[in-house]
Amino acid sequence: MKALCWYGTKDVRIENVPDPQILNPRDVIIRTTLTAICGSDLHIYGGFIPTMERGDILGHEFMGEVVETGHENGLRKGDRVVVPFAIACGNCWFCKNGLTSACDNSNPNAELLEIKDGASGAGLFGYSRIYGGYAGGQAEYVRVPFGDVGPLKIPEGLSDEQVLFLSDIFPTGYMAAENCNIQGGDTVAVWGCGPVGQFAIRSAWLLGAGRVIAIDKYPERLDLARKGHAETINYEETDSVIGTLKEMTGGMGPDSCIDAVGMEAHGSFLAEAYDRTKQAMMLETDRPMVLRAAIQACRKGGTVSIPGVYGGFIDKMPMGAAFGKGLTLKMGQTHVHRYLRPLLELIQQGKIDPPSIISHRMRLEDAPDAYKMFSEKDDQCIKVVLRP
Amino acid sequence: MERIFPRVDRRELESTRWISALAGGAMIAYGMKRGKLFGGLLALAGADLATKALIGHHLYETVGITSVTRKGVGASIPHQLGIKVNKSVTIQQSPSTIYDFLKRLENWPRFMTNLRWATQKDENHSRWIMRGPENAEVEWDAEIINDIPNEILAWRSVNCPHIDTAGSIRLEPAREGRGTVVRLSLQYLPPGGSWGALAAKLFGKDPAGEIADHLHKLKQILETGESATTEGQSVGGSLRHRSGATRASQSEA
Repeated sequence: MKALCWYGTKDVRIENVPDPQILNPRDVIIRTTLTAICGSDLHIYGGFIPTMERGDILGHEFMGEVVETGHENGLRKGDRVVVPFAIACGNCWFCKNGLTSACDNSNPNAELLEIKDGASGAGLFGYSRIYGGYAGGQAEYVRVPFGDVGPLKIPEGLSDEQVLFLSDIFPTGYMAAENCNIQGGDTVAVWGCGPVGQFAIRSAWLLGAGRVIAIDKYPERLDLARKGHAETINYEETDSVIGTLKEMTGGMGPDSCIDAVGMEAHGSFLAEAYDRTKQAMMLETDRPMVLRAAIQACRKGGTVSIPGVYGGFIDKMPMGAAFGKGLTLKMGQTHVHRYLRPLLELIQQGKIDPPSIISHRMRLEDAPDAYKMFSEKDDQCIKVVLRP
Repeated sequence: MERIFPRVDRRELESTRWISALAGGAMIAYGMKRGKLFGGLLALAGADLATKALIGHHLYETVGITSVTRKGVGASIPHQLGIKVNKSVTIQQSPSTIYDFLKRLENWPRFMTNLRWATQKDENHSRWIMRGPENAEVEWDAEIINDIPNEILAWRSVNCPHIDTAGSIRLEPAREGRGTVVRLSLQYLPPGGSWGALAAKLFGKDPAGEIADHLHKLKQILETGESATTEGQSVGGSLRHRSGATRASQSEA
């Protein structure tokens, strides 16, 4: 089968690889009908994620048709399903308590992640050995472990494009907004108008926000944010994002702030120079400019919600400001499974239009070009979906 | 948790410890200054005295030689010698489910990946065949020394040519809704004693890591019925070395 394989920094290739097989009784095999490139895939593409090995298949946002099942698991050949990006066993304490991205049992390399983080969470599709090294979904077929837990059956009447983003970015944006603990009428500021930010904006409204302010620099992304009824700030055209936010909120600051950017943030020239230098010297693994801004901008007693991926260590974290203002920080990998059905309902009710964030529709074979374009934000790229 | 060097034996009197330490130190210094065979032997004797003062065990005991001073001791690994590994894991099953699983020897190779098989010899003895370094097989017998259903299983090795081990698994109900806490405690005395174990660690063989891996697999099997794996999955670059069956070719056939 054809699959998108990683071979090094900015080096991904479409290759012919063996088809997946059932390896464990609870596995299912999916024939991919639609898949996408995630912003976090760009961290791999850019060489920021360790423990990748040449030949690893990427991709964690995918859906398709069941072609083979191991044991009895409620799925039949031909079922159309969307698959969550984190693999959950359904049996451990964390899965049973709705914390599926913290699954105890789905990462065969848990010991590696334990060294870095103190404990390992779930294995992920297509996201390096330390997260299990599972072959990813930018491929014609995918092996899905625990097929009785993850895949969500999609009813008739919905297109692939409408439901694909249930695999990752819609629940991620939604959980980010939920973590803000929005009280009716609150002002929510969202840094990052990429796909996750776009879903965070729309989810904030669904959760009762009174005002959503979105920050980015790419005109097409700010445009799309405005289509989501956000007010926008272009950080390259303003003296101070934090100052502007303060004025917009009558001096109080936003009630909650969402960092939908993560470890590869851009910032002011000096801040970016500082953090990029430290990254190059391996003194810092992540660039936290957005996190710093969110902490500085948030009102006292407010919440900073962090869906943006961080992997390692950050420097110059304004912990004093966070403490001094009594902030709540909420973060983490999305617990996709508990959002699947509620969010599917929202889509069916027409309360949100996921395909509106797609900017490019391409074939799987064009994935290497798509990665380059997405990485450089060429051609007004916001979200690429790939059809095998 | 892992402890490689013996814990300090505090049974020595404080005053004699200081005298031993000072005397030992003096002997080392003088012996090294004096040089030659006599000096070397003196330094070694001094080192032994100092080690006894500092950690309560003779120098030769840290290298694994235990029989000289510990005659007639019942335990196969004398008190506080050997490498000790403690690891606990919480498993979402009842103590009795876990106990029953562990009592069946055929289950052990499912999570103990370097075990080829284990068979019952009689009520208290079993034979274990391990995969050793370079695919050599290591056989040894285990004797159950404590068995309280749903609470404790404890064993020690007998007839093992290279290594003495003793261990126990304790099962405690965890708090409401969390299943059982499984506490594994393992003590072993490899060739070369503590220094041998340290050297082995430096060269990549990490028993504590292996044990953690085994416990993780035990948890996976007991909770999910399978052990998470990616062995045999699709990966790029592999078709250059062999031809793999494709779904397309299978459906054509």
